[in-house]
Amino acid sequence: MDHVIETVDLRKEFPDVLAVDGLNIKVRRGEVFGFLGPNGAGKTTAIRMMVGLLKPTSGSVLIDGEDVASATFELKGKIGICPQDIVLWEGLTARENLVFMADMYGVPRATSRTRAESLLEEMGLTKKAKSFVRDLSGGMKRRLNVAMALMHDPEIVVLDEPTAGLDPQSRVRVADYIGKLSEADKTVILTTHLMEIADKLSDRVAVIDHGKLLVVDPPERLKDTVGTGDVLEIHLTDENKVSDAIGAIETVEGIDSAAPVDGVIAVRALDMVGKLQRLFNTLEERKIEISNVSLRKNTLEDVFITLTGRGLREG
Amino acid sequence: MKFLRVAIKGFKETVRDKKGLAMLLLFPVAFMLVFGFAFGVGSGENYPHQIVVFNDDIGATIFYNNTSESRNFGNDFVDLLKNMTYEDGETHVFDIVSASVEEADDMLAKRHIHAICTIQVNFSEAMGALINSTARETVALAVGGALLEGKNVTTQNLTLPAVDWNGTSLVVVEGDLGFVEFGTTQSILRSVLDGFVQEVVSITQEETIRALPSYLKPTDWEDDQFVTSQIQSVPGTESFTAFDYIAPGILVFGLLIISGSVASALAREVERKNLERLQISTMRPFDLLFGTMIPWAVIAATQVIILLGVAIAIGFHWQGGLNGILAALLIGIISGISSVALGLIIAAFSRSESHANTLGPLIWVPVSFLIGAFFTVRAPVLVDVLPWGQAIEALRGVLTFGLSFNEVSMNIVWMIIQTIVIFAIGVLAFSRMRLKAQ
Repeated sequence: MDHVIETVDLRKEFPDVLAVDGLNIKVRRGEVFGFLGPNGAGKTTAIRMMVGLLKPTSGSVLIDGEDVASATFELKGKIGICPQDIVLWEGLTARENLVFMADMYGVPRATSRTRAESLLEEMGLTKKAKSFVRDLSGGMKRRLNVAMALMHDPEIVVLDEPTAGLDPQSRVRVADYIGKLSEADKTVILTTHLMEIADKLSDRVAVIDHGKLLVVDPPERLKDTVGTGDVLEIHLTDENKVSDAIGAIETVEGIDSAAPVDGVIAVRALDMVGKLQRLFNTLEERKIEISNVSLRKNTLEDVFITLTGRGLREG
Repeated sequence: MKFLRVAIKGFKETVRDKKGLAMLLLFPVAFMLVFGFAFGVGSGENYPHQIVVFNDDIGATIFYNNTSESRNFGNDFVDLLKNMTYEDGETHVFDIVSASVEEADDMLAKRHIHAICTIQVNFSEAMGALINSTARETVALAVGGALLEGKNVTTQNLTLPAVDWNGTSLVVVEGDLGFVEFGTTQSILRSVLDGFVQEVVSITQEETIRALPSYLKPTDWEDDQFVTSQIQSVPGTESFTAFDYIAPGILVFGLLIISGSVASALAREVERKNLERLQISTMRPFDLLFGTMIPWAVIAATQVIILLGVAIAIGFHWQGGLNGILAALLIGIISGISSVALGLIIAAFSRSESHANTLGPLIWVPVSFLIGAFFTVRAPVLVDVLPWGQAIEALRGVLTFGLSFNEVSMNIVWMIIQTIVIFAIGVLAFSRMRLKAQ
């Protein structure tokens, strides 16, 4: 297997926290590699070490076999990063930002102008090409932030929470573009705490929490590990009865599992719809009142919950 | 040429930030106006500068053009000081107070007089040597010119005076460095002495050419060319005020402020993580730092023009003509680059823009005082080792005293050396603190 990025026992310790704890991952050439974890899980710290912005406390990052610590110009040119924060020059126009970034990678002007127009169009910013960044909306800045990473046509694109703070329409646009990068055989490292994005776009997903790698696999296989079928989320009127309710639910035939997650009971089973009546009757017999229910398919969040016992958005 | 791209980007950002640019350019202008009106411009009043003159010159016999003459140039210089009046009236430039050495020292300590001027014993001897040297040089030039024109030259009838003295005579100006009036007085004295010496040289040249055989006289020489040259308006003897002495300092102060602006701009790039974007690109630290320097050097030049314009508009007596302005521009640009270098050092130690905004003035304000931007300082070493101190001296030379570029060239050379050192420290500090992986 051709690995473009490899982290070897990567560790980063800050004075008050161990941000990354012995991370070992191998990213394959041309894949979209999702980094999934709550805020503060160590995703961004790991990414910053991968691109050479942060020195590891120990361990190393190899890109095409070359240590990032001794990054050459050639190696730097292979990577494009869209940081989590919006990093733009407010006093320049959208187009000027893109062309300036290309200049810093030594891209010829003719190429950079064409590429800037193309990226502005892809990101829906053509009409704002001459607008100063300070006059753009948050969503527009976020899309431009993504485009900045691509101006030198890098082989590896690192996108750190590229959809954070985007409206649904912009999120779809960015997600579609990430899909196109994948089709163009770019290696994409995507960090996100949005499971839908990771699920939809990633060839493989690494789940990380408290700086430790919990699991790496394709999204479908990860979801299968926590059970196939549906997930029923039950909200009780009286949260003190969660334990009683779980005991009752587990008596119903065909139920795979029932577990408390943030005061909600997550119940897994194949053909959940066919079991709903019996499940409700059981709870009613025990005088346990339901305030709300929702039915959905298994998601990567369930994988995370199963692995850590808490939700992704809890942080 | 990534540094050029960085420079263009920086230039666009600076020009588009109109409020920031206005603050940067107008803040020193406000200082220039305040100091201008505080130190004498606009009052329209001239007053004599109180000095005590000790003329120890014993005189000398001067030989030139086959004649000899006993002269005491010290007396001539004292007469000039006594009789000199401001151009705008009958007020004398100097009020020469009679006093013994002890009395003069006491008056100086009590600031009853502004300066003590001592003409050394060998002043006339030095002037004689200058006259002889000038005469020899003039004859040599005339002979050389005639030879170039193909004339037959015989040197039998030419008498060239010997220059057998290679010492230096001093006119010592003593005073209280902390007293602004001393600064003004010594400036005028220096200008008057320069003018006096220049006049002697002119007259010697004139007399030497007049005595030459006609075939040796330059073809474009007119007999009456030098006849009119008597004691002319000596630079600095117009309504010279303390402001004329201080204005170059304010100019350098304005350029020093640039260090704070550079530090803020770079700290902002760090804080907003723009620098990280550049750090992971193929840009080298040199591109960033050199590219950052260029637009600020342009701003420095603009600032020199604006501040000089304002100073002249409110009554600064600018000497040195267009050459003086050009020299001032060059000095300003070098000072601006020094300030950019200082800004790099400040930015290297600033965690954020607000930190840089606090740290900057803590550095450039004391430096302004230590280099004598506002008042003459008692620590001349600092003036010499910092490029802004050299800049003030050079600017005072070309703008206040009307010195030529050559006469301030050593200041400029030192400025360049000191700027290179500070810039190297700045690049090193900023690269290590802000452009390396954390």
